Amino acid sequence: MNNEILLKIEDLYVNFRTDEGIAKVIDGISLSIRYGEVLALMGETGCGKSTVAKSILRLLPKNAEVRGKILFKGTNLLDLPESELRKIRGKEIGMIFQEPLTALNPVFTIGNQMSEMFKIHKLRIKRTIQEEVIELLKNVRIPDPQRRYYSYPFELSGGMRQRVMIAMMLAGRPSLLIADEPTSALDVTIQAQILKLLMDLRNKYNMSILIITHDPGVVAEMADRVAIMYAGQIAEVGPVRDIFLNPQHPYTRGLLRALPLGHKEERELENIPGRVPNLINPPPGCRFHPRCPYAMERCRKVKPKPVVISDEHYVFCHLLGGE
Amino acid sequence: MILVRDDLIIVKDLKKYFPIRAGLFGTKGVFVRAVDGVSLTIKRGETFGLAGESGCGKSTFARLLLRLIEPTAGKVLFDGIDLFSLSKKELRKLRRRMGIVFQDPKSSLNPRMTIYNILKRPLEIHGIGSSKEERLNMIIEILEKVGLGEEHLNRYPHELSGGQQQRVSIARAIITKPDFVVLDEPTSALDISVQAQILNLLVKLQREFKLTYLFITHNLMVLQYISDRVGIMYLGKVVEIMNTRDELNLGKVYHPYTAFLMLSIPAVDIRERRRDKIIVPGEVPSSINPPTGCRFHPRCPFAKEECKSKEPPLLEIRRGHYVACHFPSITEEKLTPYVEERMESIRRLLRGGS
Repeated sequence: MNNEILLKIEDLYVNFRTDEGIAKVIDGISLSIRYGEVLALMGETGCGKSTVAKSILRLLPKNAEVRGKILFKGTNLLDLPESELRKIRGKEIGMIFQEPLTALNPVFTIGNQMSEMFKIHKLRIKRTIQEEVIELLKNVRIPDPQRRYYSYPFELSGGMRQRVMIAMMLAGRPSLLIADEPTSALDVTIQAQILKLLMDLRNKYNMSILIITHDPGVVAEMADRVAIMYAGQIAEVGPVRDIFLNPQHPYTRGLLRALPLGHKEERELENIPGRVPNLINPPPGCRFHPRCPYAMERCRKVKPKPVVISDEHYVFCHLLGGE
Repeated sequence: MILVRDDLIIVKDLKKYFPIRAGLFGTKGVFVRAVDGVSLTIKRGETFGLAGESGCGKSTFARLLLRLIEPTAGKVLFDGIDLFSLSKKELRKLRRRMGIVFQDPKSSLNPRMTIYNILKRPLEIHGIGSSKEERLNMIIEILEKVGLGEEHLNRYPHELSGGQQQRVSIARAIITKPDFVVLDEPTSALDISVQAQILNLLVKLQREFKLTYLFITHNLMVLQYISDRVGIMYLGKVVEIMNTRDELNLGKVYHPYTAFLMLSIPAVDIRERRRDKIIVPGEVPSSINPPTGCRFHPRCPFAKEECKSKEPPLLEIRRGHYVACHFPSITEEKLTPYVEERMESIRRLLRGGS
């Protein structure tokens, strides 16, 4: 990992036009990912973590309005014409999803779909495309790759399908892999295998990974840094160890104390009272304030700016000072 | 908390084989052996946690305990009553003493019924309450017990959040004042903060109504938090049964599969994160043709000849701790120390006051 920035998100706002009104789903977030770094975006349902991922590749539906900048190797992806973006999508930036079955075409063989990657992106190859594909399947440790080349997606288990998706993304040698809940549909032993595979690949290819997850376990296993999201805002961002061992934002603290660690006879789990707000009329200021036990007058009016805790650990909370 | 030291449920060599269509002419003796010879007991007042990965047979097992499906072989004694010998009428009477909560409240609550009607059904079916007012009072009372209120009576399930819907499912399961409730992945579809609320609620209700729970989950973190005793299932068999607080939560596990599962609990304290992680290889084989001998042997790094040919019985290796493995001492030497370390790191994290 070096310190150069690969992807920089600046002041990203995403609104969705809906029948009920405009949903302000992302409320001005900034993030960066370095070369070779694993950054996790963690939050509960509806916090906007997948929307951030999709805005990077401009995969959002037509009713979305995106403002801000997403700089990939210095180029603003939001300004790029579609034809240019297509060269980056799937080649320089790969993406895998929670359910690989919906991402794979059911009527084509694995080999057929993977070969397309080489054709669409006109990738340079050293041998036949089939050999390249089989090599990729070997890379993600699919047993019997020669035979799997001729398999259809339904013939593979969930874990194997996710491996195929990862292999397919590797074809373009991406410098960034976006993984949206890549193991949430898998059993725990298979999840462990896939996370290990992703880490091995990032070490082998020095690829950066943006992992979107609701699972603190995945964050703890994989990420270098984590950004905790709540209702379209970032609550706290920093090295995983700092966030987990020294959480500062009331939401992060609540979330970690809600984890069922220990035993019911020893401790009750923490409740975060209330519910996630409606984003058509989100609370002003800090969006967490209606659920925050420490909310002050200022939290209801002013959106918090980042407060530096240590080196790379920032918290968006008025309790911790700031101007 | 075990209040009375006796068994509410005794399961003896329970089996359920589902026929599957094979070949052009339909079924020909090909079966999915979802539950393949399970024996265990569930004590009055305890939470028995049953864990395993998809397809291990844990949900089929739960449905057998409520006789929602008929077994292929075996016996279940519910408070001394032979469940499978009951007539339909007798079974209906006994069902009042049982409840079930499913994973997805959206699909288990009728979208066209109000909460009031959903909760009134079990009272009508079992003839509980003599007047409309009495039933209404019972419904309001149970709603309050699960953290909802009168204002929810005339709402429809879709008007509630996922957590509130699950509260309604729980209310429906306990409104007949049952002894035994099956909780089949009740928090798997919920966010962490909502999961915490539901787990707290389940613990509170168990204490208040002296309920016995069978808690089914694939989430090991939830398992070690909520259960008093646990059973680990693999391909239709129980491979290990133990006490939670003084065995599982201390990492004292002796079946290699249990050890691998527990090691998949993430090292939340990332000082414990190791790049050379211990991971179980391979995937769960099909339960149509399960492996011979010990079913785990194709994935077990310690498998020997004996494991391929001879099926290990579930034996008591310590008081109340049962393991189905020919060589538990190998796991004890090679894996148990890592599991102990992982569980200790969790305790350290909790003590650390985060």
